[in-house]
Amino acid sequence: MVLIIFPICNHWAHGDVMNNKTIRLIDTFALAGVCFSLIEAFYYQLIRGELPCAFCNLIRVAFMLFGAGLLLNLRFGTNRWNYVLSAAGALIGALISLLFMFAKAPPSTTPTGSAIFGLHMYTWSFIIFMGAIMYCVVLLALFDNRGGEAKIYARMPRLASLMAVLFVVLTGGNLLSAFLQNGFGTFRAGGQQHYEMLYNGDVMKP
Amino acid sequence: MIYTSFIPVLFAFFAALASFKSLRLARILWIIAAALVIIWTCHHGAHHLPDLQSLGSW
Repeated sequence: MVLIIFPICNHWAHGDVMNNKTIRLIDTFALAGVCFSLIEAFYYQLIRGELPCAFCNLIRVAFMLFGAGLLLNLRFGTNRWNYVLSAAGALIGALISLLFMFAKAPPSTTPTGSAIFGLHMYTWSFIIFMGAIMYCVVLLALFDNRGGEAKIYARMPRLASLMAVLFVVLTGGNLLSAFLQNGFGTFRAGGQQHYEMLYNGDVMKP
Repeated sequence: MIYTSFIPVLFAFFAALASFKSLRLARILWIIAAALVIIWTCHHGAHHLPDLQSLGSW
């Protein structure tokens, strides 16, 4: 977090743009944050046994959409449209999280999943997506576009390559998880106990 | 089943793979994945309308 915020504040204070190398480093840390969020979701799913509901799965894809723009920046060079893609993904994720929060607002409803520091995961994801939208806005302001057209990098930096591969692996993991959990059916509501493709005896709430 | 659960994730996975090869193809696949997430959210969100209506005026 400090590694992302400090250089941004420093350039903002000077009203300056950043060079592409600095921006790529910040994008790498942001992609690491996306990977951390997806790993944390798998921790609650695989270790704590809390299977994701429909909105939870869709929020995960929204995290991937936010990470998509960052991944394309790292692979093909920083481009404004990639930040637009990331911001759109973050906006979609924020709206799903907000819908989830409203759906769980009535006192008669039961929360889905564990609370972290008193807030449930859909509330945390809303906060994170709001930060992600601001991230895209600020990076667009700091991005120096005078470098010309985007280019394909022959070699990505080692840390960026690691994060890119981890991101793809986590995306594949989510695909496998969604298939095992729901098979060829629709996403289920919260409270699912078993994977549909491994055991289909769950009695789901309506 | 139209709203098969893994379809948006499948497009996201192929988009992630394409992100290493083709910028144009990757963008198209990511945009399709985003559109699918919106459609799937509308489908599942419709089930929560009674809860939302209990929250007062909008």
